[in-house]
Amino acid sequence: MKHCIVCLAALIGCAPGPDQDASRIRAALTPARIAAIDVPMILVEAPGVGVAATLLQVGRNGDVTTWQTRDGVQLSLRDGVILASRGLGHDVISADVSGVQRALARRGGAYQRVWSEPDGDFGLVYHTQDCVLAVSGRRSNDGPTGPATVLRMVETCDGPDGGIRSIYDIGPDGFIWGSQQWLTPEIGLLQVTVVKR
Amino acid sequence: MVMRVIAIICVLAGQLWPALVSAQDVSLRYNNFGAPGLIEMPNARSAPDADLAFSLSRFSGQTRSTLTFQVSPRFSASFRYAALDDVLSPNGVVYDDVLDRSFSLRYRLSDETDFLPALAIGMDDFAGTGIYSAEYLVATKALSPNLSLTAGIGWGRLAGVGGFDNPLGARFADRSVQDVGQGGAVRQNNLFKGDAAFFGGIDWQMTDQVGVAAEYSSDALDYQDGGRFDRQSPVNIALNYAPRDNLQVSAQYLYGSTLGAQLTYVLNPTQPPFGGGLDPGPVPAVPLRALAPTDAAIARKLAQEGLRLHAISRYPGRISVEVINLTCPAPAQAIGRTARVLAAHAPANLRQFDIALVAQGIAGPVLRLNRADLKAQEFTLQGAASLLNAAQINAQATRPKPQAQPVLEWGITPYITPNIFDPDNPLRADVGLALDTLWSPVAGVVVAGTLRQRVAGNLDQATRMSDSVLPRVRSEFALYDREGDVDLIDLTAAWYAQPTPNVTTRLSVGLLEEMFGGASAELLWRPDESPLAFGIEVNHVWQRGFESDFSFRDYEVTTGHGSIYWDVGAGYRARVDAGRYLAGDWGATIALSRQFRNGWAVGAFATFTDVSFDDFGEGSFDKGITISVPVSWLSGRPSRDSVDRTIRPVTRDGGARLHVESRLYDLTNDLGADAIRGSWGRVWR
Repeated sequence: MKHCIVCLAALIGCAPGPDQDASRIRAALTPARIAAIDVPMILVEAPGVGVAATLLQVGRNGDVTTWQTRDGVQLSLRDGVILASRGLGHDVISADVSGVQRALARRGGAYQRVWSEPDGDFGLVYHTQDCVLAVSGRRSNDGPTGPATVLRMVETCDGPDGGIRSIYDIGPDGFIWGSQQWLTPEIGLLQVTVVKR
Repeated sequence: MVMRVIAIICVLAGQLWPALVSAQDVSLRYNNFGAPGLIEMPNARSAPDADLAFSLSRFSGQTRSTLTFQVSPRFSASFRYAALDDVLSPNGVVYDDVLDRSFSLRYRLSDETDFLPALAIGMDDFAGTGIYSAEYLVATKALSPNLSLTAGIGWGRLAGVGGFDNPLGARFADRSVQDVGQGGAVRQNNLFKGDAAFFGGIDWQMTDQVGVAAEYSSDALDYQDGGRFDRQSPVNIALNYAPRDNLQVSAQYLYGSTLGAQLTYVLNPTQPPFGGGLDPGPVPAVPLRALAPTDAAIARKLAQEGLRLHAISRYPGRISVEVINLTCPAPAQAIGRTARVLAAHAPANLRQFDIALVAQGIAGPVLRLNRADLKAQEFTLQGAASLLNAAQINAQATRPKPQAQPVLEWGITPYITPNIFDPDNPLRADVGLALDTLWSPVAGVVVAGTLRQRVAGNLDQATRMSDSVLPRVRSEFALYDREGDVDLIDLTAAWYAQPTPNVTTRLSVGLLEEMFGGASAELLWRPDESPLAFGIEVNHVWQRGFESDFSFRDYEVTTGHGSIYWDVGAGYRARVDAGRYLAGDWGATIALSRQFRNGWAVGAFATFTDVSFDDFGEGSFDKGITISVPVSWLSGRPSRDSVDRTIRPVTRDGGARLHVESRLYDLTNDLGADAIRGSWGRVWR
């Protein structure tokens, strides 16, 4: 079975080659193929830099799951919220996302986000943003799997260009099936879609 | 006329200063001499700290290329290489083609305030032929967010037009006239001497990308032959365009008679093009699947992280490893990845990890990390700092058992050997393929060699013959480039040892470098956590044949130095090497550098020996600048390689030092506690 997963992962583009086309990967994620996958998988698209890939779990430390592409790009999420990235160049090294997690649980709220990035000289630079999370409304689920409808929550944070907007589509049990989350100014938004929970 | 212009500028400035803006808000521009300035004139602004600017300007038969480094927020230094046609010497002789190399220094004395301008002092060409010799005091104030005004007083070249008696007094009244001849000596007697003159101008940034500048130049360009260039006006104007933040181009109308152009490209070592790097993610501290916890499995996992297991021992509750960092750009990253591999794959009953970095069998201090801290801090906001706080550093720990496996490595890579700013040609270079081999039968013993096959290039076209009156230990470098297409660059056997944790030794024999072979012995005392280190090196070498094979010439010398290394702090390093050089001359080298944690280094050095300036020849004494750029910075990919260049205005025989691979200070640089702490921001990379 493991071999089948590897084959499938290769077929639908596990590695995010720079020319990987998000629409091609999405087209390959037919219901039959998704049904054949028996391990958790997410699809991550970075439209700002034109890359997309599917990621498999490689680590789980408490409630943080680390996902990885075939060529080593990693994304660590705590209950669906991005906590760290590696291999993208302009990565988030660490973050405090407790505020957004509380607000997601309460279906809204105001809080501060704090995160660190590399400073270019082997140090870290920390950033703080004031954010507000609010319900946008119920909508149909665009993802390849999950419930028919999701509750869309929109997070707005102050930022260099007048504001950063992230989106979370959550199911009835609070699970985030899809999201568009701001990473760094150079990478922009990452669109995270759950392929297999 | 001049005084009237200056007066008008001052009145305007006085009225507009209350606008309360800073010139630092106006886009910084580089002038034709590669310094922050207007067009030909300097201003009082400074580039952002650590900016490295490459400038190229050309007008009327002279091309200036300048490398300017903002050494500190206030201090900057430039190395300039200029090609001038038809230079008129003060003694009346016209030189057809002059290739001139010069240095400049600038210091911003005071910052701009709401009402007062920034003030800077500078000197140009203080150790060269004197063609561009000048000193100045200059002030710059912003009048609006897009407009800045500059006024200054200059000496030397900058007192060529509208000169007046030196305001510094009679002692500074006379400035000696120099020929365009032998440079190199710092002409202290001329600094701020002779007549003075005012200069100034205005810089208007019209849009984010387009600006104009106008200036009153006090440079009479006396060194330019009238037949080549007819200076008719002191006024210069320029249209400036910045297509990108780090790229500037300028079209200019200069001195009422000619067009000019200028281009500047700026990079900053602290702003890598690939951010924090494209290194693949590390092993998670808590993986989904752990391997069987054997030493071999741990070694395999370390290899995947760019690390070689050098030694490993298990103790009750603890595992101790030494690793060789093959590709991680930062020492802390190597520590972090090793810790992650151990956390992921070492037996669960081992709760403490002792990790040390090793190079050529020499080990740095042991860092002890708790497995629980790794797991707890992997995803916390302050995880890096918390992990470091919880770590223990011990320089005296018992070393683990070496893995007794010989290492054999080889590789064929392309090479380029540029000879930049050669006195006769601004750029010569060879390209080809290099075969590098390394065999280490046991820890600390290394046999290594480099063979090069030249494919193309023009290094062999250098025609300059040595006229040195000293033993020709370096000045016949062109003959080494010319003879033979296959060159055995080096072939050495070296033995490294560490009698105590703070004392290391090296003994190397063989073909040590392209021009010398023999034996080299070195001892370094590098006290733990101390900014100072002390070394001594003794070599006896024979000069190699020009064919770069196993032949030798009829010259041998015992050479060596005592060295003091000082980590000044804030990234600055100083070093003094005193002793006997290759030509048998005695003296000392002073070197200063700025070392960035990411591996970049920019420095300068000067050597003074008992060889007189006359006997040394052109340049008067050995000096130059050094630049080291990590390949990982350029490519974003993990690598410990770097591109290292030493640029000398001229290569002569005095003050020449033997080149030896892996001198101990450089070898141990990335092993110590300071290097690990300094790069700790990458521990979770």
